[in-house]
Amino acid sequence: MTLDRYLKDVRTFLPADQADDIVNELSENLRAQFEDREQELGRALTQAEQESILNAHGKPILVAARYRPDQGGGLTFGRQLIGPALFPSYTRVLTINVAITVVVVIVAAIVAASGQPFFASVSGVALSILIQFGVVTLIFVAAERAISGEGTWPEDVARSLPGELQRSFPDRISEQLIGERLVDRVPRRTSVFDFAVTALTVGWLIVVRPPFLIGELRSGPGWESFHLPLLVILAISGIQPVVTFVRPRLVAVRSAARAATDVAILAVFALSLNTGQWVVLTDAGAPTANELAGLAEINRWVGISLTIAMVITLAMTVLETWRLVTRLRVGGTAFAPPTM
Amino acid sequence: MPHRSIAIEPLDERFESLRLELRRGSVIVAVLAQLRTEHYGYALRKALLEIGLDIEENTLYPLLRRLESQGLLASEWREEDRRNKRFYRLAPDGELMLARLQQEWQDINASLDRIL
Repeated sequence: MTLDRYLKDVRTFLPADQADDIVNELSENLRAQFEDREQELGRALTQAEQESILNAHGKPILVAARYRPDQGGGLTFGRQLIGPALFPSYTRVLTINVAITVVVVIVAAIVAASGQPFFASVSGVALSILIQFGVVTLIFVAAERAISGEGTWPEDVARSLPGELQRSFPDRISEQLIGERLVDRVPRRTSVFDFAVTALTVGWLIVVRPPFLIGELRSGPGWESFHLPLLVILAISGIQPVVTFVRPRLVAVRSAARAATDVAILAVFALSLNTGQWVVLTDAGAPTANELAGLAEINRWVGISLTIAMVITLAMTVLETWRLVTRLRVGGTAFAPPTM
Repeated sequence: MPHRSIAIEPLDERFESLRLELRRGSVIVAVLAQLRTEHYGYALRKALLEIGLDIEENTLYPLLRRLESQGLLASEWREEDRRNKRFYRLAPDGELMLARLQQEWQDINASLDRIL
């Protein structure tokens, strides 16, 4: 890690109104420390020696936390789960997510007015907020453990593990949360991959369009309610990889587009979940009690699968929102700075 | 009769946390006293280290800003060795505060001397 990169990381977590001043001062102090060490050694510092000084200075998020006027805050259940360093970001992300939910509910209300049942009860909204709270909290608890050095493998265990697994899960989560936002361009291969996945999914949805038959069953209103909206959302989301392929430095555009897509998909899933009846019996003859029970069981499992998909989508929304927020805080713009 | 085991921090860890508590207040006195002469952050840290006070950068640099926001220190950006640095010095309120803290320190010290 270079000094510039280190300072950039610190800046991310500083109060915006003081960030420049603090970073300038910290930069001068660290440069003075480098020069001091160079004088002692009688030569320029190597990259490793510079990194060693920066590591000794502390993790950027913790360094920045010391400059926050309010060192209070935190989430505690028996032991502290989220400390004061991460707590402001935690509340911010949670607020953004709840705000997004409110927007979804407003959209849902408009859809409901057009005859589609959606979020029929307040409990649906409450459940959605509860899930968001759980997912966001889990992510931040993992990040807190990584930052505080907990949750890492004991050294002897780490050595026995292959490459990537040597770093603990919280470490990797932490890198996702804190590290990736600093990527200054979307690799073209990522844009190609995004486009390919989107195109394949759109293609599959076009081929498997309702109504279709599965043995003695056929697609029901639950499937029909999300098929077309999902197709449209995914087709629109295909624009993003094309844009980032042409302009790789529009990194925030990718985060914003992905977060928006995830929220839209969430809304469609919720609509479908409320509609239910993903498969129904074909019209041939009156159904027996056994057939009806089997059908109910299938629909129940589809509903469970859809709920799990919603939780995963929600987690991805949180991650993308986080990246977007921190990226905009770092750069103050959707454009990444030019690489030197 | 079954034993009840109580988790107790190792002695070294308890000492470390008590030591930090003990130092917390004295660091402020030391910083105020040292800033009767103007210093920038890193130079102040070195000056304190030379007299035996090793204060972490992460403690010292934010502390300087906090003391400045309380009106006890004044600062200005100035060029030295062709680089801009932020120099801190004791503000008039800081001088008054230092005098009172110094008196308090001496009183505590005298009391402790009688006990220890």
